Amino acid sequence: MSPAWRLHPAWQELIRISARNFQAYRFRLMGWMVTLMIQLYLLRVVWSAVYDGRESVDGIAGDTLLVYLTISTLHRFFLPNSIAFEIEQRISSGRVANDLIRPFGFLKQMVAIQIGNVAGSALLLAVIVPLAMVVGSLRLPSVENGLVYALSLVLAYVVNVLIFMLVGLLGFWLVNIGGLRAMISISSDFLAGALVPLWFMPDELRTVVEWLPFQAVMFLPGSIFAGQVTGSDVIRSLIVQVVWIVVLAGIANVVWKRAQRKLVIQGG
Amino acid sequence: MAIIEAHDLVKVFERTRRAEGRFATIRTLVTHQKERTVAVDGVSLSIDEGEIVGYLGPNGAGKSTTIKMLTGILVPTSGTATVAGVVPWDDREANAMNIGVVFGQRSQLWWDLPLDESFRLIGKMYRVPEAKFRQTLEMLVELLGMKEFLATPVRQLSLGQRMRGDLAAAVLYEPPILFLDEPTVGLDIVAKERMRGFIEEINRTRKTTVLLTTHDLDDVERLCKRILIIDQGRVLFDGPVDDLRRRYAPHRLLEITVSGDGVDALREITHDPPPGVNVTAAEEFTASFEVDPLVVPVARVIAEFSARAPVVDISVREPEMEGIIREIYEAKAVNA
Repeated sequence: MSPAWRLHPAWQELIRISARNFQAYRFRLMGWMVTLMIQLYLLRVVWSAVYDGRESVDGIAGDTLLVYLTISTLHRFFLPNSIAFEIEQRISSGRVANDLIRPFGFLKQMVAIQIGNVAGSALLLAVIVPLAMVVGSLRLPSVENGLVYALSLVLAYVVNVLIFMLVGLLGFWLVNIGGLRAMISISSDFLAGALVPLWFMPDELRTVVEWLPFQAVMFLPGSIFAGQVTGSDVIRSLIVQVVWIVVLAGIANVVWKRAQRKLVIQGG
Repeated sequence: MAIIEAHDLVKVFERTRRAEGRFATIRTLVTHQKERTVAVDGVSLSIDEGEIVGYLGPNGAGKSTTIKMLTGILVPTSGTATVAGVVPWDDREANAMNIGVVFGQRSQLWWDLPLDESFRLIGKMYRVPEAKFRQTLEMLVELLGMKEFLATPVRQLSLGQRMRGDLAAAVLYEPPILFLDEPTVGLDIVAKERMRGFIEEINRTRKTTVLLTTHDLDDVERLCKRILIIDQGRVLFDGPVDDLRRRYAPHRLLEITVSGDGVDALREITHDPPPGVNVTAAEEFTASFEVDPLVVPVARVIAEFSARAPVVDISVREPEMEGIIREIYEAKAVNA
């Protein structure tokens, strides 16, 4: 028996395999990259026109906004929600039966695959970051902000995985969650502040959005990256993210326990 | 010593009736109409270390559901079970280390991966030490003849190749117990025979306990000394294969053929058969009988017939398992 603190060897193997599988879809990745660059370019053109030479709108400088929207757009590409799809597929095909007889937990397998997907696309960053600085409006933050942002990004990633893990687990009750999944994916972009930052939202809406977990995925790390959050507010942002992780992990745990009792294996 | 034990396992599936029409998904979520199906209805069983037990029953009898509870995939509605001392659904990961599972209908291999990568991943999952892994894999590749397709992605394998891969994957970490759910389904005769030979071998050399569901009674005749028959979630029979045959169809089928000058003698025999012998068919030169060996030994019947008529050909057969099983399925009961 290996000691508990040693990482299970299946993590590394599953991450490696799913990273490689992900890279097998090179053409798809290239397509994504082109779309991404067009999007970043349009962001710059459109928002520069909106600002029309003004320094700031609602106290937000044009530069800051563009950097924020650029990094949010990058997040949307690199924080996948495929874990919901992965879980849904395994339930609807009955494959979940095979996953459950492994000595390496089902949810751990799903998370490892998700991490592998991100790792598989991470190599692209070497191309995308410089391109985003030329074509788009990406500006690298100060070292200090950069470090805090890195921490916040990791937390955001965990929150994102937990949210979509929960969406996927709904499949144990509904079997076909395709529609629901699409609905949540789309609304989560908006609620995360990826399309319109929370700064510009009307107060009532902003209050609602601040009580939802989605902003912890994009708005919080994004505004740290853009340098819009400073001092003790940075700590506050990180705490909000950690609290969401604790809450969502707790919910996922309960839901997972109930899901196992609910399980019906499709196809005998 | 019993290595698999179950008492009064019950599994009731409750399915929410799906709403139809607009917003069906959302409405299904809030509706409370339920459909109940009792898949397993009080199954108890006890299997000793090293046994190969056949678990039979018509489609939908509850075989797979029982196996899914013993493998920890499904949580029973009520009842208890231990597999190698572990309650499967309570400690799924500990149970996983003790069992190997093959679902004939559904591969456990990773569709996009070459076969050997699937094996590697399984090795990691079950923490098989590197040297041991290589040694076991080499043995399995040899035994199951997998060399030429080891590097082929699983999705490109033929059913027979894939099934061999699945079986290898289930024994790679040398579990003491194997659950095989229709391991020969859809295979040709040669492939079936290879699977059976392998199961026999692994049971003999490692003392692996095997619980096997199948619709192919050749699997049972070849591998199992003991069978359990289940239907509608209840165990109908549990005992040695020989017992079932003795109890259910004790007679032997005897067929004799006589030469041209024996036609009259044969007619005499079929008109007035000795006690314990029934005529099932009679033609000019041949006749078939059912002999009850508890009344009269088959050998004495043959001797008597040979004395009375010029017999040129004799065959004695046991009634086929298939007929017995069919009768049980149809009657939904075993004669006491």
